[in-house]
Amino acid sequence: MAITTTGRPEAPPGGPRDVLAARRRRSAAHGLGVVAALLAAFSVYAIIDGGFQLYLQRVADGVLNGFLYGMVALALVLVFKATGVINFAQGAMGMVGTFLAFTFAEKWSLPLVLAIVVAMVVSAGAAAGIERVLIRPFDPGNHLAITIVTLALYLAFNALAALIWGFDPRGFPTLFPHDAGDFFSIGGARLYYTSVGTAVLILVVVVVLQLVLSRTKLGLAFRCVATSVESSRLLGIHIGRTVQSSWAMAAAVGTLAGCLAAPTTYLDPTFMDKILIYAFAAATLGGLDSIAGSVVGGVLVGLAIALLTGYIPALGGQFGLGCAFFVIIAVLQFKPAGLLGRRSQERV
Amino acid sequence: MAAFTVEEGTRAHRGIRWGSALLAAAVLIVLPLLTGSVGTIESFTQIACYSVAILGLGLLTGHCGQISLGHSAFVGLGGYTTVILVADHGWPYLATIPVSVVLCLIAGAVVGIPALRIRGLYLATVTLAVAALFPVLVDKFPSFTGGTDGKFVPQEMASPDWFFVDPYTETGPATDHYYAVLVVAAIMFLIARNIVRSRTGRAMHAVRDAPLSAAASGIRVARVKIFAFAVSAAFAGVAGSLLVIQVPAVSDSRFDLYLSIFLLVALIAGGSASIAGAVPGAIVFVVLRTWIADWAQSLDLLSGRPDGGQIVGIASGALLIAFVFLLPGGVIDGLGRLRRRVLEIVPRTPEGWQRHRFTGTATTPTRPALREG
Repeated sequence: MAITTTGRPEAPPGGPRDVLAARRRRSAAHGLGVVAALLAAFSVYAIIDGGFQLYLQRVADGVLNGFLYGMVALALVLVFKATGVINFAQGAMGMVGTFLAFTFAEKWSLPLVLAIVVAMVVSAGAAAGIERVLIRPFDPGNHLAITIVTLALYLAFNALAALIWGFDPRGFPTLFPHDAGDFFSIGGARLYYTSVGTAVLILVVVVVLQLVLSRTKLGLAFRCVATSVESSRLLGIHIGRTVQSSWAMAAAVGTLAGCLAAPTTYLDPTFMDKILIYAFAAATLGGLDSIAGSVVGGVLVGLAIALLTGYIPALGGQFGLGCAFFVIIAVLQFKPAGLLGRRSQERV
Repeated sequence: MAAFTVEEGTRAHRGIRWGSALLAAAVLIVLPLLTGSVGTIESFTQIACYSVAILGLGLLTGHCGQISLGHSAFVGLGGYTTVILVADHGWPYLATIPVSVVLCLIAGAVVGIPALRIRGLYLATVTLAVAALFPVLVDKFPSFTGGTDGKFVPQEMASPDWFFVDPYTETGPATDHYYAVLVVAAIMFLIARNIVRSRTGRAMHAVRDAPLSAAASGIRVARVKIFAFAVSAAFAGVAGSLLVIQVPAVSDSRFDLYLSIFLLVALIAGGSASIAGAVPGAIVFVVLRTWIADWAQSLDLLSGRPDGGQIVGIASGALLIAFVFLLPGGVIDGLGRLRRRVLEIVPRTPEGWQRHRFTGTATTPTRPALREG
């Protein structure tokens, strides 16, 4: 059972004597400082190596890709916060949702916004059903069995999508204006409206989710279940329904992330696999239990991949996966709770 | 109730155990001589190879409670080690297996050390990245690994002259490979059994069942988990070397994430916390990945698209969920239950147990009342 260190009654929240919160802030600031120093050092090398304009362009691309990774990481975090389980099927669920949006837009010729919203609703409903049928029968503490079920879902969803839609890559339309001339120019770097719109949309989603989780009763139930299943049950919180809503929200967020990510690559049953691994790196870096951390982690992972693969030619373009791997390894080695996550204590 | 009841450690029990072991060995030895087709023998060899990988994964998942999605990479590491040593340096096939073991032990420890010091299933995320990274790394060093074209050994493994199988018949080479793989696999099964029965094996069970209590009892939890993962990676490496003995060729696409997930499916289907479960698991693996895939390939469900692999994917996902729900102990558990209907093996009653007998009188015939003791 995980007990967060902030749960002590004698520590008044927000007051000057809230030592633990201060320590947590200091630890987060320290971690962010180390990352910022590393980035700054590499930036100096990068600017000397390739000039300022190229650097700015790579930073912009990296940050905008990073927002996409952060959004998938957000979906992972939503499920992890409520259940303590990493949902390996998150990418595949988002991929199926994206295909649904694509089908709604193509076959029924719905406007794209409406198609995406319908796909989000459908995938949220499906995820709620999956949670009810496949996840809830297990003891919430039996993480191994639940993880294996999510792996089975990954396998089944990928195969199902490949069976229905095939492996031909398709282009997915973007929500935003995307002509050749639709970009801002900052210091010579091109910021396309699509990327900026995507980033803004993701930020809005994060703010809304953060508000929901910090201001509503559902959010309170979320945090309660995440802290202690036993105590939540005693308080009369319906554990299953809370977990179910976390799955539904995560699926909707994942579908939206898929719909935003698909225009940057192409749409086929494997397009989320790589993004899912980047999202794991992002969630680990930001802290698996932190909503804001997932987006921060996503941006940092995006930056790291863009800069490292861009400026170290020996690594090559395919080496984003290697960057993600090293990010995960480094975070687990040096700061296992992530930059903004909470370290938990255990007791028998 | 069982028809027969045998006490553990008695002559009858030992007779049953030795008899069944000898019977199994005899069946395994005679098996390729009975079947005339090369394809069947190769399937048996594959089952033996994959059973070693599944056994290794079982040590980690079933006995230590961690999930690895990176076993495809370790199988691949073992396979590439054997191919490179045999093709470029002229080593004999079997001599490369210790090298695979050492390389995979080191690789497993390097991956495991950061991920396993912390509580939780972090190993799964790290190893997912490892599995995705392995094909990329293979393509990165084409001069060494052959890159996307794959790498093969021109010379198949040949048997020594004194061996009783004639290599110049049609099934000869396949039978040779079968025996070589069988012997190595048998040794690996013995090693796994001894690990599970050792002090470390008991510590692994404690770490799986109650990590905090295990730590409180003086078990170094992180060290046990890292040991389990490194050993399990080494088993996977041996399986990779054995696969190369069977078919002396490797390619990057052969060791992808799906291999890892299918190994997990096979493990759960066979029975994760059991040494013998690796065999039915490997049978499930080979049936799913080759037989059903080939059969489904010939079906024409969706307008001629090649959809064989997809049906296997859906079936495996469904199978995995079904086993986790209905028979978490796997096939081997089901077989054990069937056997217990016929033959029950009970632990030996300790000598002089009468003296320590509980002296309470029962008020109900089924449940002794503790208060009256």
